[in-house]
Amino acid sequence: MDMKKEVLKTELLPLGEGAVLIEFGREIQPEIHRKVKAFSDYLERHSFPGFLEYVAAFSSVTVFYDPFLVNRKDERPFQTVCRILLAMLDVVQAGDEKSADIVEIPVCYGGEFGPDLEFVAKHHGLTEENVIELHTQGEYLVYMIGFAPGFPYLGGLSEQIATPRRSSPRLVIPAGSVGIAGSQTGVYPIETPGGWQLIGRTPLPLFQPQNMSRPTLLQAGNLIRFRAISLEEYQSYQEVSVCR
Amino acid sequence: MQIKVARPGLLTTIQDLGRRGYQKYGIIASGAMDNWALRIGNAVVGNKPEEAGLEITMSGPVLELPAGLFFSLTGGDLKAEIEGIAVPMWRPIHIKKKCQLRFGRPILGCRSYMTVSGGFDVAKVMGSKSTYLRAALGGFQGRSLQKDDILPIGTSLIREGKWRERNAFFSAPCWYVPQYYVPSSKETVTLRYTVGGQWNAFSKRSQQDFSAAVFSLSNQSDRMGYRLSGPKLMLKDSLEMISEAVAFGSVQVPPDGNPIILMADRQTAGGYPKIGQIILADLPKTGQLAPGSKVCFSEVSLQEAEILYLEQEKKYRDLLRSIAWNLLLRAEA
Amino acid sequence: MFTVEDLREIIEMVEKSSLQSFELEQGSEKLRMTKAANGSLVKESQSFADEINNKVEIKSLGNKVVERDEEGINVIASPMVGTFYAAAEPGGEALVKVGQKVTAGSVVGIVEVMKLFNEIEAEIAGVITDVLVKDGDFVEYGQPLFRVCAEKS
Repeated sequence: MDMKKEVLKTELLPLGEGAVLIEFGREIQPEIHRKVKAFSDYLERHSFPGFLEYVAAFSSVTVFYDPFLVNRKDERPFQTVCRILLAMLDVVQAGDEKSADIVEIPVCYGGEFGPDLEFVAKHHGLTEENVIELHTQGEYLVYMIGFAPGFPYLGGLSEQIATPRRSSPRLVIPAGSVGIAGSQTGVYPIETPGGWQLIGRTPLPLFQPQNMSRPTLLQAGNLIRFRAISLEEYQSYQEVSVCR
Repeated sequence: MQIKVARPGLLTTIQDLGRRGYQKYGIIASGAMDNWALRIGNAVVGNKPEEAGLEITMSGPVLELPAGLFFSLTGGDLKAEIEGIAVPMWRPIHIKKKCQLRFGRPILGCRSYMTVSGGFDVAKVMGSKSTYLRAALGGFQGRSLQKDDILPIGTSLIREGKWRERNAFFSAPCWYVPQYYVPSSKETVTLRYTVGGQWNAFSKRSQQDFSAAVFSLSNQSDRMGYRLSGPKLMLKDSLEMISEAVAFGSVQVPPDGNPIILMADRQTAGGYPKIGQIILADLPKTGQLAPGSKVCFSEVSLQEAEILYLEQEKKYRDLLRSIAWNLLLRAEA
Repeated sequence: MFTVEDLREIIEMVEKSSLQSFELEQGSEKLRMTKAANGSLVKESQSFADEINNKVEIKSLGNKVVERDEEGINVIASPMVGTFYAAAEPGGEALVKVGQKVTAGSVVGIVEVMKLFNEIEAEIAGVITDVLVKDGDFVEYGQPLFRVCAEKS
């Protein structure tokens, strides 16, 4: 049983009997994302009995709940949750979302930190400096966090440097690596295998598990700018974090 | 009080009911694969349901247990023994004399849960003691147990009542919680599901195959997900799907057509189409499957799935009351 | 040591309370009480190798509270009200059959109360001569479950 809401054009679909997926659209688009962000912000401040948590994606927000705790006499849990969510959706407007936080990420490009920078440049008939310029000029929207703790899905990469994934992925990509895969760019918060073209590395810790209120540096809705730094500046960041 | 690890076993990790509220940061939920076993295990030793226990997989550890310890074993039957004597499951055990706990080959299921009264005294990370191995987060130093590890235990919350002095090493009560779900490796296990978000994108043939065929768990089956072999499931047309959230028990189908049941260490979102969602009431049973297990799927409506879950949770709360009663009454002599 | 008066008071308190069952031990004497469905207090014994026929009312409490074993054919009676199961787990094999030897510690059956399974022990060594109930039967406290021919010691 789906429930449509005309005004915000959302669809409420069950993800099993323990979650409801609110679909705001089916494309990766800043307009749709604003609605996702607005509703996520609302959920940060409002709850309901039985609510467990939510996960925001490109164009949807999924709300997880415990049907036993949600359960009311004479109403199925799914109906109760849909009713509550529709009431919330009535209140939230796109444009309600908090203005985006701009996060600057310092990146040391090339060399041992960016073993694929040369390939990306050659692939487009550009110099490595051109690639760095194009990468740092952009303003990137964090559509969602997923795949790994703190891993951002960024939109807005210039077509001029969009490069296909490596044909054979690396077994180990160091934490902090900045890469390109197709028309996506991103930063690996923790060491994982992966097939992205690595162009640089950031000394900023993107994943801080001890910080309970903000365990990841980036959150959905942030705007990112990359800033090129020298090797010396990179190393000075490392020294500071060792002292802490 | 502490437990010393003499041998670690295949994969023994500290797990509670999972890390909740952080999936929006891409932080994996983790937690016990069979959360029914963990909750009952906690109940019989007087712990809160969300206390952490040991998840023991297939080939169990050798643990040195101190005198005075109250613990319990629930979930899969891995033929636990203390000094050659079989340890009864699904009830509290009181250790009288320092001894070694060992495991044999799995008889039923695949994962056994060891809870200790007072819980394991390890730090919580983001509100949970669950181990997320990939990010070396939580549990015992972010990893599975190794030889010579020392596990600190909290203060015991229960006392012995009129329990049987079974032997020189342990005593246990005559009551226990009966289990109805842990499968043996010989049977084909039926998992009930509700249709997935992208059910209609699959061909009629694949929809039929999914609900009729027998699949088996390949060797690439672990805490992250179970990769199944069987008939390949195909879409009607190619589908451009963008990533959306997934849940414990989501059955997604990558381009190669082999379905994956997402489990405790699943990623928070995925872009593969979902053909089905295992119902909440069948997740404990699902958590007891191992590579080689045979499964088939049976569709139920969302309403039936809700009813089955509500019944399970009511039964759980009834059991909590009975168990608390037995622990309190028989102890207050 | 509790006097009869103390015991009467305790019993009255238990009866008025919401407790469903109550146990008391005094040296080698044991007293156990369970509330029957109609709310009245009913006495049970801790020793199960006896044949218990009657509900003992509160006013008979002045007597000794421990039942004694009988010689010869013994009856294993249910120590509680619930559902009898012959096997340890649903769908399993029966724990004992007629002709089977048992020891005092042998588990001969299960009585389910409030969703928990309770192991019924033989409490006496010997041979099972009769199985008096079948799987799934509702049993009262004191209801005979098995007859055992006791081993001559």
